Amino acid sequence: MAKFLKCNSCGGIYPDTRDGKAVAYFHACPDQLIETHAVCDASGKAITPATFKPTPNPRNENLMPHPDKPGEYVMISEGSGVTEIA
Amino acid sequence: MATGGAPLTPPSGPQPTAIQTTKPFVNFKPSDVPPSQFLYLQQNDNILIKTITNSSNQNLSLQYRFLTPQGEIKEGQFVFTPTVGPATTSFTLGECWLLSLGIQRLNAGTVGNWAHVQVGITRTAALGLPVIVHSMIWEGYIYNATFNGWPGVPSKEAYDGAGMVRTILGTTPGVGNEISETVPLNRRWTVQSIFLTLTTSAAVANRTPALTVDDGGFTFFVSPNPIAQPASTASFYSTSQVQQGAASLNTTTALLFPLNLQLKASYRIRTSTTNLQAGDQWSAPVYTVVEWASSEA
Repeated sequence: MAKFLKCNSCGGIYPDTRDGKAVAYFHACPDQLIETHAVCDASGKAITPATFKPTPNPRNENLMPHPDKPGEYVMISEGSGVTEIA
Repeated sequence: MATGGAPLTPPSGPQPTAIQTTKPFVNFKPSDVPPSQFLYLQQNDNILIKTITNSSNQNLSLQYRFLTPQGEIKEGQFVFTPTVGPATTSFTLGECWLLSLGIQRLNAGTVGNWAHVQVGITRTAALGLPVIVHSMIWEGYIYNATFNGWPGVPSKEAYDGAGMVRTILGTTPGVGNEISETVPLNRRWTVQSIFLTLTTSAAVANRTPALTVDDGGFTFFVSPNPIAQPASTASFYSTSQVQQGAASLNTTTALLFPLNLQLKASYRIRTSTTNLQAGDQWSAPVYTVVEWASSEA
């Protein structure tokens, strides 16, 4: 089992708790990412503020009731999946 | 010659198996005794178990004792491994009086594990249907290396008790992006403290990090922060109930945060950093919470 997982949607890296050896951690992508970062002058003050974009295909590992199987629960959204990191 | 003690009693007192010469005043009825518990199960009744857990791979065992209509006291065990989050299972005993329940974890757990267990009576045959609960027998928490059950410790609703103190290592955001942590389903948290590290790139900019808390939609808290972090530095940020007015002599900045803030599922804790640059990197947040199970929407 990998030690960490990298979210392919937002690039976040978090502990892999799928084996049940630790308390479960449910990653959820932020709802927005920075599209263009602020541009600052030589004194460090902003000339152009940052712009934001919705996170593309966000992943949310939190659970919701299964739409077809009452009593069961499924991940809210798989997003773009994860990459295992040793 | 006997010394001390009552007349006709040996000096060292009566031995456990010896017949006392003085008869007790109280008599006990050894037959036709009604059950000590009032909980009668009919043929159609099922024992319902509903759990909320914070980790998978928890092997839980429910041991039970029951009195049959034939007057025999029997015992049994029901082992189940609930999925993380809410789960439901059931079993049947037939017609009997339920005498006791004991619940414990069979396998080794990890720091911060808990399972909130509800035991009741249902006649719902298929658990895929909305389960109708006819009676609550007991509910409470099962922690590592402890047991619980009925009768015995009074029932605890999900929000009762001291809760479980946990330290959580969150998500390291992608480079140039903000931290975002979400309270999971079926959890209630009291946030104790949060620790963050921001390493800035060489790009000239005055970064001013702040913490925000929202309910998944509406922001209801933003920590003020008058202190800017320059380029090519690594600074620590830690929550505090005292607003820091001037730059620290060391590299730690206190961010104002409510004391014992209670959050429920889908609530979020995020950073909002003015002038964050593409090469800046937030570390994974480390935060301590007190955690309970929750059935709040």
